[in-house]
Amino acid sequence: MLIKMKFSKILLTMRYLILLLGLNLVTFSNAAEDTYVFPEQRSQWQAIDWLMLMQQAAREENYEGRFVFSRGPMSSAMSIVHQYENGREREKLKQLDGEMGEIIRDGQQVMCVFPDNRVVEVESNPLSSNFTQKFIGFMPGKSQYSIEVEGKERMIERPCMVLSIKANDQDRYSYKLWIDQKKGLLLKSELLDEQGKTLERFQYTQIAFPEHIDSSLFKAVDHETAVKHELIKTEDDGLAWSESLMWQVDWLPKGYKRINGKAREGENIIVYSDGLSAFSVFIESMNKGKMPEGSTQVGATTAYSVDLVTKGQGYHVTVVGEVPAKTAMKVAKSVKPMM
Amino acid sequence: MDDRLRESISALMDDESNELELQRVLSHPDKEKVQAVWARYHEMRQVVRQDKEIHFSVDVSAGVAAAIREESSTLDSGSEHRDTSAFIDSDHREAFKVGQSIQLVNETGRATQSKLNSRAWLGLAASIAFVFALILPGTDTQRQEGVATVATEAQPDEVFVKVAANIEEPKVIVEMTEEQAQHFAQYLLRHAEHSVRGTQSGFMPLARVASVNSVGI
Repeated sequence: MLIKMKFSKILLTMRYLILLLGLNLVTFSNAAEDTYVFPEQRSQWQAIDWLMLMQQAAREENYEGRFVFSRGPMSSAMSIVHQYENGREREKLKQLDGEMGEIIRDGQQVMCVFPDNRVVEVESNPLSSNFTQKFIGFMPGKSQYSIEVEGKERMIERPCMVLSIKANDQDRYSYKLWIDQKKGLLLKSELLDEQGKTLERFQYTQIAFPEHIDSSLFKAVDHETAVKHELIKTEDDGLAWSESLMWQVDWLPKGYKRINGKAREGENIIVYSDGLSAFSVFIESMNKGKMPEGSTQVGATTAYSVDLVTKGQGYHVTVVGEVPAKTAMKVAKSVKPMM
Repeated sequence: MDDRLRESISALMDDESNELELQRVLSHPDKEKVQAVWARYHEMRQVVRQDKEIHFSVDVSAGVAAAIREESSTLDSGSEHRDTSAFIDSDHREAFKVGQSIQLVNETGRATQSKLNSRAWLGLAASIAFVFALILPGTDTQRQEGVATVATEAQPDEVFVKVAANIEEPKVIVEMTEEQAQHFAQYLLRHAEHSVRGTQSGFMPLARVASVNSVGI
């Protein structure tokens, strides 16, 4: 244990050194994923340890419960069942009111099942899926956020650690997290704008950690009863440009790293994360039916669309993510084709 | 369960229901579903208002039932009726005021010398039906390790929040066609699918998609 503790301290020291030096945190985090050892006494834990535990618990615990998700003037009550078995994650979210039905994630695959048995599935992209898997352990950087343990509270009769994560610039939002002291699961979170206004709130109202969860719960729908199976393609059918065209994003907020795919030819979805928030950049042809130019916001999620023309090449860019509208706009307008 | 019934439940909670709405709720054949929605709306209200955590650990159903029995005898005999609030533990009385059912109970308690009108009777019946829901869902399962409770208010399904705009700010989309809204929902789903593995929040990106129910995909 002594050796492990020493090793963990070395890892933590290395992490902070790398952060200070401004080197690529992602690479380090990937290496640390399998070897991260938490300090033996939880009383000695720092905020980064709790964040690491939170990430691990969200992935590796079996849990089921109900929560309320509020953003803007809208609130939804939902249930969640999450299973971790033989290294495979499965989860089912069910909206308890309304017409959304269920969202089922089975490993890489996400599908929406509507009450009328209509199934909508996102086409999987093997390149991006394999790559994003390696980003487990991607922690937010100290230069982007001031992260500290704010105190302890009780949430749904469970003791929690309260973490304050304040953005150090105007390009991202701040967070307040309530992490279950025993299991590490995130029990409550608030996403705050620059003025401290809550844009999004998530809070469990009921939680349980059963040892076993029945796999049959994750069965989406019988093929015989599915009335319609729609596939949302990952790439635009109407691409009008050459396959050899590559895209570059000239401006990114500090600390954001690309978390999907490699810069392969013709790819038109690029996803970035700073370890806490993420945004996706969609690059499409200028067809009808796309989002109009400007920004739309639902709680903390912003979508900004713009039509751009560079060197005679016209294209439609949409940035969607949990970032301020200004950030989304600046990113969208900086997308350029590399001829 | 249709939206009209949900609206009626919401109105009942806010003490804004009319006779028709009250009867719609009470006569619904699936009592369990009605109770579940009632409980959920209370949970949501608590979260939205950030109310102090309150626990309905006291079963007042016997007291309410006794109040009805006594009220019946009052109506029959014309004798005086005693204050129903005496059935409620004084430590919890304040907490109970947040729920419509308790307001109705208190109303009954105050109606000591007058006959109850039909609305009050229906309200009382609603109290009986819902008070069990307030004692709360899930307490029957051993696996459950924590339960939060109470108070809500249905929030309108207003999806698009406009961002204040000026010359330096991004232009705001004021209106979208159905096709564009569908496209927007698809962006959200694809963004969620990609980011669910890249952030620390587990299923949060998917919850964001699920919460945009009125847009549809």
